[in-house]
Amino acid sequence: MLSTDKLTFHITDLLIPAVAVLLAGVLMVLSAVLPQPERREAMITVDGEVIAVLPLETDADRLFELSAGGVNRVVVTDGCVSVSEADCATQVCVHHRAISRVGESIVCAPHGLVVTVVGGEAADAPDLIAR
Amino acid sequence: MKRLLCAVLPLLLLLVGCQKGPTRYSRTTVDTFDTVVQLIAYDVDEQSFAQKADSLEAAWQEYDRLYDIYNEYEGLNNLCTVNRQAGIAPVKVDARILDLLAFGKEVYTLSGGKVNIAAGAVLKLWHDARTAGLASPATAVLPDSAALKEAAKHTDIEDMILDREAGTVYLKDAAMSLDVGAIAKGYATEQICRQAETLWESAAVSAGGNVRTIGVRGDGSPWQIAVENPDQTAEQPTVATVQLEGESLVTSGDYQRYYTVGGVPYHHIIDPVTLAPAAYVHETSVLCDDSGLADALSTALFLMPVEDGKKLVDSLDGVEALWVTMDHQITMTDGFESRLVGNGETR
Ligand SMILES: [Zn+2]
Repeated sequence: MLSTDKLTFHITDLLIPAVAVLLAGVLMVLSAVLPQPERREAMITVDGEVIAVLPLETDADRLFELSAGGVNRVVVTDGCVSVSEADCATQVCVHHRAISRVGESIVCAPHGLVVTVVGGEAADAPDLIAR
Repeated sequence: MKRLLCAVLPLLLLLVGCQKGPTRYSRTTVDTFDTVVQLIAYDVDEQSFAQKADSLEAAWQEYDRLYDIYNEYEGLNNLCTVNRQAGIAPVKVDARILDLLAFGKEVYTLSGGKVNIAAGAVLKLWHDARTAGLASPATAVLPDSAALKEAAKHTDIEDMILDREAGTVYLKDAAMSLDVGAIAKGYATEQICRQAETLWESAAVSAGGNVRTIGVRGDGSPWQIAVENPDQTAEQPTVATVQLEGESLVTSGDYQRYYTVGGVPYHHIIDPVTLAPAAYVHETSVLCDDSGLADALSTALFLMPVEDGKKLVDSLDGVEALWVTMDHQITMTDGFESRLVGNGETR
């Protein structure tokens, strides 16, 4: 049989958990709402190794002569980055639009070169793009 | 003590609810076959993710070599071997090749002959002209039209003889060759993802833009997969975003692989009737369970007028599609529309 003592509830028993829940909630909301550092950069990798990072706020024009052979010219203009020139067979990287959103990337598969926009949170970005 | 527990427990639960559970990991690999493989998966830790990802990449590499039509490999009979032996002898091949080619026959029938893996002779002329034209834009030319017409005589898929018992494939016509570009990526992606389904409950793979999802995201929400905007000068990088729960989304377009002759772009998806790049739409995108089917159908739809494509899609169960027309209008099936992000419930 249950003793009556176990069924008794004091208001103070609820107070502490209530405050705890509130506090946790406030913390979560704050961490989601507080602005992240928003400095977008173009990270350029070859076979997974970072070879350069270009801030998108500064216009740039860089020619990368890859050690395994091959050339890609990466250009930053008005906050967008693109591959303006390459000597790969398919030219898919050159045909790709200029990118500026976090998470977007341009790939030169024959050269193993990837340009990715990084920095800040990728709000509303799709997980993947079918192309 | 009881009181303390009462206080700590909900706090703990909340924190756990917010931050624990499998973590999202991702990896982008560029393989030697001109394909970018992007992998996202929810796993217990980085090491577990990396191990599984490595095994899938190894499997992917095997498919790449088997389906390679340009290079042969020591000790391996692949599609390049099959092409070289056209008109000479049957070639003993891996079951994964026979499966792909059998699928190719199905796709031929399904697409009314539009998607033809036996059209390699025609596609090779375009491939060679494109490769030369990209390497030297000033001297870029179209393939010779007489040569194209001659090549088109050697594209009969019935001349591709599959012998399951002997495990061989034989091309009866010495002048024919196989080109599996319209189906291989999607087909391999589908097979690899079926393998991945035993490793992860929640993952998404893009193999050169061929997207296949497994389950939903780690937080229970559907995967959000976008369709690239074929207008590469437009501000908007994508034309639509859909929610997927284990299905595939594959897109065909004229904006990625092309070369320019006299200022006119010529893309890589060749109409078997005109023997020239198809000019019905800028882009097609197909949503269905099977990534191999999605790949084949997106090519098929690209090779026909929108109205014909809609009829084809309507005749198939569980297939939805989107088109970007020549005047950059977006049209889609009702089922595709119901999957758009921001369109309420999935399904
Ligand atoms: Zn390139």
